[in-house]
Amino acid sequence: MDTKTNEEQQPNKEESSPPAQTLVEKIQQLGQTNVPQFSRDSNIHCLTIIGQIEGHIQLPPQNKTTKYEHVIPQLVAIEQNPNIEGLLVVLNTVGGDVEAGLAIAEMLASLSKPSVSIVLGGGHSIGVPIAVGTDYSFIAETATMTIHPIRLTGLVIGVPQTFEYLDKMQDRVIQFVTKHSNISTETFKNLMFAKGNLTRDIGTNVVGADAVKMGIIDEVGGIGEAMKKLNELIEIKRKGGKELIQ
Amino acid sequence: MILHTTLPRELIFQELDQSHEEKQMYLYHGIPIIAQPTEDNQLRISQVLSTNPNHFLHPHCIPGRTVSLFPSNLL
Repeated sequence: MDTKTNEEQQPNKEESSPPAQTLVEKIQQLGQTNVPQFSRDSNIHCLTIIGQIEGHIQLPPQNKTTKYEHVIPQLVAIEQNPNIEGLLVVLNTVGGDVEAGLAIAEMLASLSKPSVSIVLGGGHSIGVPIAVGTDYSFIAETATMTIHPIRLTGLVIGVPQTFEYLDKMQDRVIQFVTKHSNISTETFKNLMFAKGNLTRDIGTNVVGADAVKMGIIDEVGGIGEAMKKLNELIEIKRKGGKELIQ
Repeated sequence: MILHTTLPRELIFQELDQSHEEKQMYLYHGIPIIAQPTEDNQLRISQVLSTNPNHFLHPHCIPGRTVSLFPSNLL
């Protein structure tokens, strides 16, 4: 192993020669090196949900994706690490896989630690349940959320069962969103099936303050407000016992 | 798989001519990163995966930078 690491290090020599050289020596002598220690662990962790939410099928490489298998273990780690007291979820997503999106949303909703989400840019489609899954949600003034029906892609069998299945999938999304936000099922469905708002689809594009007005999101704000709220929630949790909002 | 997204399907699944090089997850000083191996046995970081905000302040572990696999290329 020593020789291997030594070889790997050599092309790098001109970049950082003296410290790298001593590092190699240290490894040769002691068989280990000091990994830089971050003096203080942050008590707030940040999860970014970007691009497409990827589920069972790997999307072509030109897609920017947030992968289920990366996010779920991170959430488990956040839940079980006693040094982490809160989670900030930053969303800028176009949606993606229903199952993966709902899985992440459920994980966030069941997290025992305070969590705050902030929608920047966009939190579309399956991004909506993720945004509302946290204890408190923010949306930037210019950010938007597109609420539209789930469409069938791929193999479509033209039998009523197909549409029933799709309807059930959609109900899962609607139920989750209405359970974890202040919007009613009726209003949400109205937004979802509204005509004339989107160019290629039925549905509604809800901008910043409107999302708050309709009850999907709790407040309009940016990173400052989100961090303040998260610290408040952490403080409430520290004092103990008191039930979190929502 | 059912996709619930605003992006049209043909945009997501478009065929690209150029082959994309394989990006993988690595640990760099304990920081999970997505990186692409370069010809000289180094890694070009394309994304820092960690949820720890302090990891984003690491002086070398920045997307776009090339770092040496050494000392921890363990996964």
